[in-house]
Amino acid sequence: MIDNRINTSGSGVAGLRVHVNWEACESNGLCIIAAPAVFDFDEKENLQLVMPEPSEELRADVERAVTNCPKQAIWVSDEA
Amino acid sequence: MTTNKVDDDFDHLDPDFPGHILETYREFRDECPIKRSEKHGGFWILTRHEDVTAAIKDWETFSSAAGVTLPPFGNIVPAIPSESDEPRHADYRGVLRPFLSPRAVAHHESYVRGLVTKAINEFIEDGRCEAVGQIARQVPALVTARLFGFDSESKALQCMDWLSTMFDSHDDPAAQGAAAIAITDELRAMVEDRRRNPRDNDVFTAILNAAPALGSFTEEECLGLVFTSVVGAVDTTVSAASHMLKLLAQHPDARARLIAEPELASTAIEEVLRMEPPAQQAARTVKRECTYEGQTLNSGDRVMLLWGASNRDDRVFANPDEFVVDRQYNPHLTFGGGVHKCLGMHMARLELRVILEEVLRRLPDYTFDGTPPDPLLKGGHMWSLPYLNLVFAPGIKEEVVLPAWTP
Repeated sequence: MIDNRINTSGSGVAGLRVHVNWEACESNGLCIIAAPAVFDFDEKENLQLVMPEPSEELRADVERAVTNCPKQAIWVSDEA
Repeated sequence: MTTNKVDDDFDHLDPDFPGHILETYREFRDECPIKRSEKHGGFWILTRHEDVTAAIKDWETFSSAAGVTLPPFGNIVPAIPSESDEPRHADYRGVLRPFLSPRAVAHHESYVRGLVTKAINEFIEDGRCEAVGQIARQVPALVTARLFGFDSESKALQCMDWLSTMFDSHDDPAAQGAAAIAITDELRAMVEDRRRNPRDNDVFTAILNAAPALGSFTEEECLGLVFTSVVGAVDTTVSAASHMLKLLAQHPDARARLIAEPELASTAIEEVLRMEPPAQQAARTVKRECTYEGQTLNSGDRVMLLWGASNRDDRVFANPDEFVVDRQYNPHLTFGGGVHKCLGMHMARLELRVILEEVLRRLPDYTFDGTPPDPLLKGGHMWSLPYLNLVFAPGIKEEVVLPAWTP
């Protein structure tokens, strides 16, 4: 299985980058509701960051996921 | 310090307990992080968020297999996955998980919305309602029954009546027994039917087809997996929805903000769950000796984990007794945690969100009709509102779009 927790899609292109504190994450899944294109569970309910560098159109979804995470385990950065 | 409220006779079944529940929780947390009661065969009590979190994550020490209720409940079928340990627990949970993931439950949203629309239509022209019966109770039973493949709404409602009789008719043991037999017969018939007629995307078919580590599931396990899920889904969600409507009437500023900023629904719902956890506690059994704060917990000792107390621990939550509609860091334990974390939490959150959206859209100005009731602690753990009378400006009925029963 590919470990989606590691950012393997590094395109090097400027833009949004999503980060998850995996120590804090408890797989509440509220980020999946907010940003279903970016987050998902694997078959054992472990959260997966399936799109670590989402396009700009997904910024509002990702910011909603950041706000809704009850563990405050998600943050975003803008790569130059 | 020892007071009458925190002495060795602590009994969550004491009818006076709900009246001073938050004071009791505070005293336990602040003065007695591990507490002993000699009631119900004796048990330890943990209340601090840090301690309860550690216990639920350490399933090898704090076992669920010997029961998660205190006193033990007489199960008619195995209470699984709740009352099981690894590795078997993973088999149980794995077979149900695909039906309860965030993406799977999203398919039920239009059905949930149809139910809520229909429920509100029943009273919207009157300008008043009893929200526990007319809103909260109208949703979880049918959604759960549909998800678990009951054949029809009428069959589902019949089964829910049997469950109510089983759990609430304590003065009529004969009726309780008959209801228990009726519901297990119904589930057994569903299993038999699926053996002959497997269905796509069906829980019982999936259970029958599962290939767990120890071979296939027994018939009792098949029944237990669905029975326990249904029981765990209904009263809890009714309780949470009732408390949500009560809290929003008590906090008109928060409600106004939610109406103006509907994207706050998610944090608002988590805050409701934190403040008024439907299940106030659960139990574990010590599997290997351990010590805590100088106390030795022996193998076989029972331990009560008081989620309700942990959720108001000011070591973790700022202003824990305030309803903060946009509270962000909110690691409440209402769904438990660790390997046993509530499998139905995504469905519960979906139901709460749709109820919230529809109520705020159609009766945004509702207020209490009379004094709202205090909660009851049914069975010592289920934090229930007996009724909730509301008044509001009358509205009009809307078209109900209810998707077919079979998903």
